[in-house]
Amino acid sequence: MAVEQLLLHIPALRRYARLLTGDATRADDLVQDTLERACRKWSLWRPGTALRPWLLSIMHNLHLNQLRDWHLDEGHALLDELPEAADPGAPAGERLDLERALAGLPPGQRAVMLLVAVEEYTYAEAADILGVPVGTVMSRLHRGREALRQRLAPSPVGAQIVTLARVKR
Amino acid sequence: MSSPFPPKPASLPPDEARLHAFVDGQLPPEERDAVQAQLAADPATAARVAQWQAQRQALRSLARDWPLDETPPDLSGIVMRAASAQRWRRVLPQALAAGLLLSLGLAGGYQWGRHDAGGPAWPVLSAGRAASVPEFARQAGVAYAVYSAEKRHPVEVSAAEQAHLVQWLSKRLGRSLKVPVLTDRGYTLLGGRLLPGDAAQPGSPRAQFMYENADGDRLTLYVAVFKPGAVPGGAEFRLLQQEGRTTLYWVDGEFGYALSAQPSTELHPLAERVHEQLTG
Repeated sequence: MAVEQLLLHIPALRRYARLLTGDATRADDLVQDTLERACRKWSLWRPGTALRPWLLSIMHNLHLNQLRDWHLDEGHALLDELPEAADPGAPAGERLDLERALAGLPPGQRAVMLLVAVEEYTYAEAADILGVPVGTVMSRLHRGREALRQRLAPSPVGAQIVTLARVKR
Repeated sequence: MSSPFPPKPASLPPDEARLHAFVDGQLPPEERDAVQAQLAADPATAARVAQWQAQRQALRSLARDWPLDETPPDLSGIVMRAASAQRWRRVLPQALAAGLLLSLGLAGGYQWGRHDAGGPAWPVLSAGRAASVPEFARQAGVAYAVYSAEKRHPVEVSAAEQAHLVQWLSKRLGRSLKVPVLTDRGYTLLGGRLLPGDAAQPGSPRAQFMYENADGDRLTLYVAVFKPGAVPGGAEFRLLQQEGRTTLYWVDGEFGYALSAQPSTELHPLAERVHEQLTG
């Protein structure tokens, strides 16, 4: 099978990597590493199986390795690095809030949220791509969604306590 | 897989997992109805689920609306180089034998040296040649395999400069060439290129014209000029099958012609069109 078909996936990979890394330059670096590895390992891809999950799985492994190398703890450091909305085409406030909140999630949770909500993979497929059990996907999804909920819609203190109690149950 | 993050305790309660599956549309219809009934009776949970749903929508539009500039060339370049290397791995031994590397100047940009420094020499296919097939027909097939797969530079001179192309190739081949028209067969001329000829006969260049139909199928007409005494025998149409391509060739006077295409292409009618235009 011709390796050219990777070309068709580049735009989707770039979008995905942007949400995953929260940064356009780092995203393209990640896409570049992903494409290089995919080309090197091309013989390992089984024709007939979907290409995109294979690529995303490569990307996630690389991303985790990078985070490991950068000694980033749970991804919280990313919040400080996020560029302020300086450029003219800056997203609207809500959008920016969402990006920041997303970037503030631990990478594992962020990945699950993206795979499930944006890429529409089933929980089992997402587990496959990330190389973790389905149970891990579910608990990351839950923690990610609850974290975003807290960050995006700060509720009255009382309600927050109730919710937290529920989560920890 | 080891994770850089501390292991998390406690799997999610089934009820919560079901709510997420509801949000993500991963529930079978009957369970979906059950969740809906549950939410109708539990406003607090319903509000939470609604927020998850809004979040999901917001994430999706964030991904969808993120402005994406054109794919940077260095990203597509990675794939193009790998594709070119993949193609070359299939035809390289034959291309080497045919001297095509000279004309390409390794334009594909793949660094063979790095991979194979100190390795064994490339196999050259000359050993297995059947004497009955003339060298120009084999080379026509190889040249087809190499250039018909080129996305960016299938031809050296495009059909838009047809007069220039024919003049130039005629001059290089030392004979006045004609370019057959195959539009009535659905093929339009893309252009042509000059190729090195038989290594055993220095100064015997070849011309290749490339055509394409509406489906993007490509067809090449390869023209060889023979020196006196070096004309292969046999004026009839003959077929040569090589891996992934078919070549139909014939000799006419001091010229050798070869039409190459994918094996599924019906070459005979095309060859007749070419033949009648070249001799007519």
